[in-house]
Amino acid sequence: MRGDHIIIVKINRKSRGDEDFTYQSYEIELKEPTSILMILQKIFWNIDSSLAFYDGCGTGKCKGCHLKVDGVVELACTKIITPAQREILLEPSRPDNVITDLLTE
Amino acid sequence: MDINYIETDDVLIIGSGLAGMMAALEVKNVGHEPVIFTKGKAGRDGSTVQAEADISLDSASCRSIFGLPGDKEDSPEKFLADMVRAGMYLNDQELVEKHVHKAPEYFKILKELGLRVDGLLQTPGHSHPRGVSTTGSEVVRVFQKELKKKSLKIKEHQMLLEIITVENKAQGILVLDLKEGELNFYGGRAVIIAAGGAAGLYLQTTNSLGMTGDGMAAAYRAGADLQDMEFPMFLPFTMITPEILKGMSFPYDLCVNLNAHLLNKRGERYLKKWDPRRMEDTTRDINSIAAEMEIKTGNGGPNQGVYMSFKHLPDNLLEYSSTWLPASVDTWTYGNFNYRELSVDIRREAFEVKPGCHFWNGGVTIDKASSTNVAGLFACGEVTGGIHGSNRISGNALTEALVWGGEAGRSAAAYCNAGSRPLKEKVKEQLDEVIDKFQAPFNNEEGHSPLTVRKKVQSLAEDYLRPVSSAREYDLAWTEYREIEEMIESQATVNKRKIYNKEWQIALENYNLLLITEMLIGAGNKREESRGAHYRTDFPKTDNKDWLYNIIIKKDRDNKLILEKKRPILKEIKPASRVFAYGKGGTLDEG
Repeated sequence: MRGDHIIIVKINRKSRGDEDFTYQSYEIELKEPTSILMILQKIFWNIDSSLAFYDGCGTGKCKGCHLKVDGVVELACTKIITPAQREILLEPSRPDNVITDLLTE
Repeated sequence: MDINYIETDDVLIIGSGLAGMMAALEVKNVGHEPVIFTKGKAGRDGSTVQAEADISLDSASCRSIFGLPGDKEDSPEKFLADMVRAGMYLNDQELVEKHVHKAPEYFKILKELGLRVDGLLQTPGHSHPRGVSTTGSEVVRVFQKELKKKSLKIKEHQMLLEIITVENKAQGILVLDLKEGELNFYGGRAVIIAAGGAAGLYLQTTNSLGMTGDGMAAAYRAGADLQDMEFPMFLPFTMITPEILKGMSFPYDLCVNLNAHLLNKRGERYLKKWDPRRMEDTTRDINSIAAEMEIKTGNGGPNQGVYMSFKHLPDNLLEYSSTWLPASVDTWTYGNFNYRELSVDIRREAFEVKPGCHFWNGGVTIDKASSTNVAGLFACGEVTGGIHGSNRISGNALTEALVWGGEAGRSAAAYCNAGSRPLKEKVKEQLDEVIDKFQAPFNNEEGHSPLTVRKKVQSLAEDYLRPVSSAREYDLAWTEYREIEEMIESQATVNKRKIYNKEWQIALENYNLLLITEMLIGAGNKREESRGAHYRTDFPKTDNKDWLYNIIIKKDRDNKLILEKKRPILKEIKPASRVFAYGKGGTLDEG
C-alpha cells in the first residue's frame, strides 16, 4: 500500500429489540495494511467507545470476529482493506440474531 | 441498579478454555452440575484455541497411548526432572509429581474424545520428544462436542467481578452480564477458577486483549494466596511491525522448525554470550532475556527489536520450507497472513522481533487437590502457580490445563457432597459492600477515561515490567503506579449504553490489571536475584543460598498486600546451594 488514504466506514448500530437497522459513519485514515478489526479498534479507542464488536485472538484462529463486509461474511481480523476501497459497510453476520452493533448470539 | 440473586446447586466454573471444559466434564462425571461462565464467546476466548500446539506427555506414554515414535527410556520421573530444572527449583515438586503421573490417564481421555494428533515433537526444555502435536482449535472442537453431548451449560458474555466468601468459604460469584449490563450473583456449591493469566497487560503480547487476570485478582480479593507473580513468561520472538502482525508468534514457530540466527544491530549472534553450546536453541527464558538485554543496551534495530535472519539458508531450501512449515497453508503464509507481502522476504531480509508476553507462570496457589486456601474455591490451569516454577517448558500449558482441570473438577464435586448452602443474608451484606465499586465507572458522570487508564497501565508494564528490570526501574514503576491508583477509583465511561458496554468492561478489567501490576512490581523488586523468566541487571546471578524461595502474596486483615518468602517443596530434585551465573545451575549440565 502506498501513501495514506481516507476511508468511510458505515457500521450497523441496531440492538436487539430495535425495529430497524440504523447506521453510523466514521472517517478513518489508513497508513499501512489494515484489517477490519484494526479499523474497529481505531474507532473504539479514538472516536466512539460505544461501538461493540468481538475482539478475540486477532490472528484468524478463534473465528469469533465474523461479520458482513459489504454484504459478505468475513473474519474482521484477517480481512485486509485494499487501497482501492473508499467506503465499506459493516453489518452483523446474522442480522436476526444481533445483540448489538456487530455482536451476534 | 440492583444485583439479581440467583441460587443454584451447581459448581460454578470461570473460564471456557481447556481447564474449564475439562473441569466441567469431571464435575458431571461425578454426578454434579457444572456451569461455565466465559467473558466473551465459548471456544473463542482465551488462549486454548490459539495454541499451535504440542501437549507434553512423557515420551514412553506417547508411544504406548498414541503409538507415536516416543522413547521407551523416558519416564514421568525424567519429565519431572526437566520441569524442575527448567523452573529453576521453584516448582512445588509434590504438584509436579502428580502432574507427570496423572498425565497418561488424562491423555487417554483425549484419545477417547477423538483428538486428532499429527505427530510427535521435541521442543525446548525436554530431554525426550514429549510433544503430542495437535492444534488448539482441535482441542476445543473435541471438548465442545462432548460438552454439547452432555448438555453442559455455558453462559457467555459474563465477566467475573468478585468471588463472595463468608468465613473463608466460597459462596458464589458476582458477574457482570455484558449483554444486559446487569450485575448477577450466582450462589453455588463450589467455585473453580480457570480464567487464565494476565498477558493482556502488555501491548507486546501473543494473547488476546481479554486476558486481564480477572481470576487471579478475584481470588486474591477473596483471600486466596498467590505466588511467583514476578515470572510472567515471554515468548522470545514476536512480530513488531506492521501493526497487523504485532505480537504474532510465528517467528518463534519458524525458528523451532527452521535454523534461525538471532542478530543484534552489529550482525553478531549474541546468544554466544549466554549459551554458547545451544545458541538459538536455548530455553525460552534465556532467549527472551538475551534479546531484551541487546535491545536495552542499544544494540537493537530501529523498531527496538533484534533481527531474526534466515539469510544463511539457501533460497531453494527456504522456498521448500514455505510448503511444509506448520500452519503454512500457502507459500509464505502463516495462519492467515502472507508474511512475504506484509513483512519481509526472508531469503533477503531479516524480521525485527522482540519478546512478547505469552503465559503466566505464577498465579493462585493450589494444593494437590487443586484447592486454594479458601474452602470451596478451586483453581486450575494458567491461573495457578507452582507447577512451572520460574519458567515453563514448551507444551506444558495444555497438559496443566488438562490434568488440573480434571483434578479440580473431581475435587470440587467431592467438596459438593460435604458443602453447605450459601448464607444468603451474609452474602447480601458483602454484595452491598462491593456494588458501588463495580457500578461506579458506569454511573459516574465525570471522571477519568477508562481507555486512558488502560493505556497508562500498559505503558507502565511495557516500560518497566518486561523480563529485564532493576531497582531503578521498579522505583519509576511505583511512581507511575501511584498516579494510576489516583485515577482508578474515579473512572467514568463516556458510553452510557447498558447493552454491551465494552468501555465499562475495560474500566472493570483495569482494577484487576492494576492489582496485578502492584504484585509484579512488589515481587519483582523483592527478589534480589535473577532466575528463569525474571532477570535484574542489578542482581544478575541466580542465588540458591538466599533466594531458593517462592514469593507468596496475600491480603492481610487490613486488606493490605503483603509478600512473604516461602521455601518451595523440594523432593527428588535438589539444587546446589550456591550462586550461579544466570542461565546456569538449572540446565542438564549444571554450571
